[in-house]
Amino acid sequence: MKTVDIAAFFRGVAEFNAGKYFECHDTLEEIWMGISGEERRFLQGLIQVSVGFYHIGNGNPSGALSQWGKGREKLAGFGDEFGGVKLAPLLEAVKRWSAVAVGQLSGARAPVEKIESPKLDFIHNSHRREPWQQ
Amino acid sequence: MATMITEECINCGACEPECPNTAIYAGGVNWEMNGASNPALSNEFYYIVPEKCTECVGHFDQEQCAAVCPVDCCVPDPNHVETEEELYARAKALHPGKEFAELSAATSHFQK
Repeated sequence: MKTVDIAAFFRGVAEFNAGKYFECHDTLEEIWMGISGEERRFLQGLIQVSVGFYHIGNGNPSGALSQWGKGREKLAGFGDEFGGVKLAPLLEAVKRWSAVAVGQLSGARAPVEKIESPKLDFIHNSHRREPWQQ
Repeated sequence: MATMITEECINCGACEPECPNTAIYAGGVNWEMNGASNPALSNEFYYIVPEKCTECVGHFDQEQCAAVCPVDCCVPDPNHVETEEELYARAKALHPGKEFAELSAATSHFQK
């Protein structure tokens, strides 16, 4: 398997946590293009979640919902964490923001300011701190 | 059927260089065919020209745009349903100087 650019992955995570969802997608896409297997599916799930947040920020709730649906489907297969990355909080955030998107599509005003921005967190002291150990 | 790009497109441009028929254009860019320039089919995001799309039949065993799209927004266009034969004929018409191998699992997703 081609060596994964771990530094690029961490850069993508930092971009996500900074709300730079397009940049995150771009960074992770570079990695995604060159790998295969479950890591590829995991990264695509993260990319689609990130793109979903990009779309909701650009006034495209329909696109956001579609991307989050695809991302959740992919990430759900990995349980609560993969490669040291906590997935449960992320998926919970996607669920809350999906309700916002549904509300926007129906014309309802959702309390957006009360919903936290999503974060990608790592499990501390995980024996698998690196996402992809050889 | 031709392939289309949905509103989920994030305008990353990964698909455009992959198309063997140059059927993909950025939003707002006019599309070209037979020396003529035509108005863009979308101003917001990348789009695929149905008249130039062969779903990669004649070239590859899967749509290359879909293969490189991380957000899965290159999908079958329900408004342009075409047979394998029609797409193959279009591929030949778009590339008159090229020799095309007979259709097989390597050159058509219909055969997979």
